[in-house]
Amino acid sequence: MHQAMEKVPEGKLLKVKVDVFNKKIKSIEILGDFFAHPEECIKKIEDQLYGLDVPFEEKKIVSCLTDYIKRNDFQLIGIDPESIVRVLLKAISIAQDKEVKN
Amino acid sequence: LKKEIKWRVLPFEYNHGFMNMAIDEALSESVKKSGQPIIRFYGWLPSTVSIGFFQSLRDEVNVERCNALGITIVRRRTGGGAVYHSNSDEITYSVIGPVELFPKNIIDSYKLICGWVMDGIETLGVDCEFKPINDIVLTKDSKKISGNAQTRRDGILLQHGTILYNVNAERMFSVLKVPDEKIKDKLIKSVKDRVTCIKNISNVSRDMAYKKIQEGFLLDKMFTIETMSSEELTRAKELVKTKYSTDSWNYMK
Repeated sequence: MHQAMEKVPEGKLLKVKVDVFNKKIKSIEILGDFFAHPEECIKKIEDQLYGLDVPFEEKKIVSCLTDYIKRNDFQLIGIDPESIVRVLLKAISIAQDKEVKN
Repeated sequence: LKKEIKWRVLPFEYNHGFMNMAIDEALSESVKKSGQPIIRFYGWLPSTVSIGFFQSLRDEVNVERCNALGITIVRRRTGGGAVYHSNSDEITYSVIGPVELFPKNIIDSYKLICGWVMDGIETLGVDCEFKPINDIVLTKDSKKISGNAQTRRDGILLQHGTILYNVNAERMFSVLKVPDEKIKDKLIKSVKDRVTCIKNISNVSRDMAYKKIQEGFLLDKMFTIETMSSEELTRAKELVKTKYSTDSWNYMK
């Protein structure tokens, strides 16, 4: 998997690992030293992003994730939907760079 | 916090890293049944690296080095970062209670419980303050002396945290992975600049530091000093076997 990371301003370390195949997200992992309640919510957020068509519109996905998190009463501490999508995009661009080179 | 609450206090004891995390979970289940909150103090034997729930073990920990040094590695139920718990250099606590006893807002609840930890540290004659999200720093130099992590599950809040008695940055970075070996010296220096410990502020022994911290922690609280019940102990041992010692838990990410 290809990864990108960021120390979220005022927040925690966020790392996203991703695989892209046939212009779709084929695996995704959200890692770091943040907090999330309940803990299973990170897996559910990963599931929301799995299978997503690449490229996608950043704003739209941020707003989808924000709604999803709110609807399910998840609490993220040290990361937020904006940073998740931002780091995801960085990881995707790294993944695609490598794909082109191969 | 209501004054009539009677806390169960489980005094300092050493445990294996797997057992420490299993005890936290077994006690959470027990609080779920009894409703009575618990404060426990403990150490790690042998020394242990604990990683946050959302971290990748292989990304964070130098497994081969830990194996060579006889250091246990365990994944926590709580988020947060990787911590090297030396058997001689820290005092660890857990606070476990029904969520209704604490502020609903997570940062506010960190602030409340960290306030008790601060009451403990301040018995050693030094001022400290809460630094959101989850740290306690000394007022005089803003250096970190305590890290804390919280989870809430089934109506039970668990917050555990460490208070540093001593820091060994070299050992820490020999067992935790650094993003780039070339900047390792820089990182060791930066830890020395950002992190402090009881030894830097007082001549007190660790045992005495623990006694005073417990005293401060329990100030204004009603409590009884207890031990774990045999049911709790049995459940903890079971959780070691089925969860905290397993690769499927520790290497989950």
